[in-house]
Amino acid sequence: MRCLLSVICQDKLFKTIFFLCLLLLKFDTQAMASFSDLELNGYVWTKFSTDMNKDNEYEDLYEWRDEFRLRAKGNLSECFDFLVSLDMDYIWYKNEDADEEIDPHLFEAYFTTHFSKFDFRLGKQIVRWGKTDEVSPVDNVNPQDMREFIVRNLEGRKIPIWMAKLDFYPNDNWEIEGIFIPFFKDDQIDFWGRDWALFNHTKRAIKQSVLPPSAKTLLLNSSVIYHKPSKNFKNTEWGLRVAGTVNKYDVAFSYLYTWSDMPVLKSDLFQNDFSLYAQSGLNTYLTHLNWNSIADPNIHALFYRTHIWGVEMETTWGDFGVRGELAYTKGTRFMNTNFRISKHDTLFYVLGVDYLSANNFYLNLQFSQQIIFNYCPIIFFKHINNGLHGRLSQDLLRGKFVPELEFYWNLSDRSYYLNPELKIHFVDNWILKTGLNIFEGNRDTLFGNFDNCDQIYFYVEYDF
Amino acid sequence: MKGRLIFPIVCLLFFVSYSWAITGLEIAQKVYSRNDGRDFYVQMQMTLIDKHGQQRIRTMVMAEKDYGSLRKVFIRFLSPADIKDTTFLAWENKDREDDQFLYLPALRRVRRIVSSKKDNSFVNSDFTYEDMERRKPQKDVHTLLREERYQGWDCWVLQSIPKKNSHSQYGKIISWIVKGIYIPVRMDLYNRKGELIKQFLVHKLKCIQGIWTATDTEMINLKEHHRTRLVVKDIKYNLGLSDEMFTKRYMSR
Repeated sequence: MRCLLSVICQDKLFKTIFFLCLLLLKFDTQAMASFSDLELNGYVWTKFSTDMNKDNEYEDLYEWRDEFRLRAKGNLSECFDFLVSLDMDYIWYKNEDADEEIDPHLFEAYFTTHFSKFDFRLGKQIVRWGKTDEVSPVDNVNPQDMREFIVRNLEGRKIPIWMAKLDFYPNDNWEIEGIFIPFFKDDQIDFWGRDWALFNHTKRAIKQSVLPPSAKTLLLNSSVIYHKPSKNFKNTEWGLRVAGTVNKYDVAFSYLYTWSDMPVLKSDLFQNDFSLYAQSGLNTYLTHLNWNSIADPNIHALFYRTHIWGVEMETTWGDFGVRGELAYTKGTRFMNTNFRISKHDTLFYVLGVDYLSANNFYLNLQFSQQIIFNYCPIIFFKHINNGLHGRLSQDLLRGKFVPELEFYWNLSDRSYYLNPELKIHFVDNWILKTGLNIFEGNRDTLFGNFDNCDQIYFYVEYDF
Repeated sequence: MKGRLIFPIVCLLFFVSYSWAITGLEIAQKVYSRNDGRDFYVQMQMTLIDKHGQQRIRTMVMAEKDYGSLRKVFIRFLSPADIKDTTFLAWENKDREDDQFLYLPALRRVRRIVSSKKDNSFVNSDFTYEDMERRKPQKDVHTLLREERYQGWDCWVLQSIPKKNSHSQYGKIISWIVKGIYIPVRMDLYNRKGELIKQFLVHKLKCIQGIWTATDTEMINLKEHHRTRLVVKDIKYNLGLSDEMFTKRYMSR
């Protein structure tokens, strides 16, 4: 049985089953007759960003990102529908390492069958758990595109994955949802060559450093080696969520047996203490390396199993919307400041309120707290990490002009991200935006790490 | 579409002075309890027109089902593309605050929203949420002012003033109610300072499946010189709509 399940979970077979199901339905002539319900829509946007300051000689002062998405959605019958979308994402930045390839790829591709008591969806899809905005501890099903950190919103960062999802509705108030993810997919991050990359322009800095040529060669030849879980049944992910309404409270309870989507890194190059790099910079850090102890200059990206239990709540109190989430995660790995990997359980919760006034002023405030148990000094994280996320906006001229401010403020290390923006929606289907991305904080803080990425941007979107 | 549909505002207006045998309150009660089917499904076009004549067009479907003490309303936008599939669901409860939910495709989840802000604009139109709901006649003092012919219709002209303990964004509403049909074809809406701020007009009335329906209406914001026109493209009554349509599950389909 176990062997059979392992076979079923092989990538090709799973995808074949998916396309076979579509094909079988294609030959249902009755279903074809109602194919006129096919809808095509999508969007295209382009965003130009320029740095507000030249912080160092390696910086990407300009960046251009475009995305085109085409969606086809249809109903073959009242109880069967499908969605397929194609995506083309292109990032250009002024750097010799820039990868200027346009990467057209299948984004979402799934079909859903609806029955009186349950829905079943199979294919490449995005599943959103949780009630809070942007900071959502319970929402861990899909990996994210972190190539520009958190500059894109949470929903925009989500990457669809192959999944089977079954929703059972015992009555109008309750829903039981089960998901099964056969293949692991990790977060998308850049390691080198960009302002947003984890090691940003380290390689270019090494090239121009005063290090001996042999050391330079060693460092420049280092690469990232991924140790992803292999495709077998043992490495699949699954989850269960029960959601319902009690009086005016929408609540949910969830469990997810998953892999951390963000890798933890290990390398012989990580020596001494992170504070040396954070306080003195790369050159000092490199000069303190013990070159004799570097047997393997590569960086190994490791992924670990985690168990996540979640609770969600949403309601309204008078004129305020109130929502919250709590997640207890067992087995999270962190990188300590001495570059060792340690395993910790964490408790992460968010409480938020939002308010919309009669003249369309909108305020959304969320307080978050993450507690790391059995704490030892960890890079970017303290024992207790308090944060504040907020969004304020004002609709002017019936939504034609919307000034907005979004912020993340890490109360524990005093770093922050500010995103003031003006949205212009003068003509239907056209959205113009201009704004600033401002990061501030010490280099050993999460937001401060992107201190060199302060930008002004211009964005144009057309929906069709 | 029928008055209740587009502006259940309609149901606000009624009064206490009388002419002949009928009182304002009785007229108001008849408007409120007028037969408008057990349910309906309507496709309509909303056009927002600013003072320069610039138009923004939204198309949507709306379904409503009456459960006696509970009324459920489902609205889904079909266009323009940037708000397509945005879905609104309201459960209007008799004895407690309404439940309202919003599904934004970009968020991929249904969100419970505050229902107490009745004076907020509905999707940047000139209609507020209060205009969209049925208001019980008992909440206002209704006075029959006169009878007159308006746009070819024999009408009662009624004044409705909210009672002290009932909340409303309006200070007074004057309505022209068509006799025998019990649909207002014009409403003048005043703020609490007594200023005329909005005007609601019915341009077309049709009898569909035996139910009188306002199929072309307009709300004019006199202060901002902005108008919202609602035109019914297709409406069907008493379809026996399934309960499933009025659930959170259905919103994201």
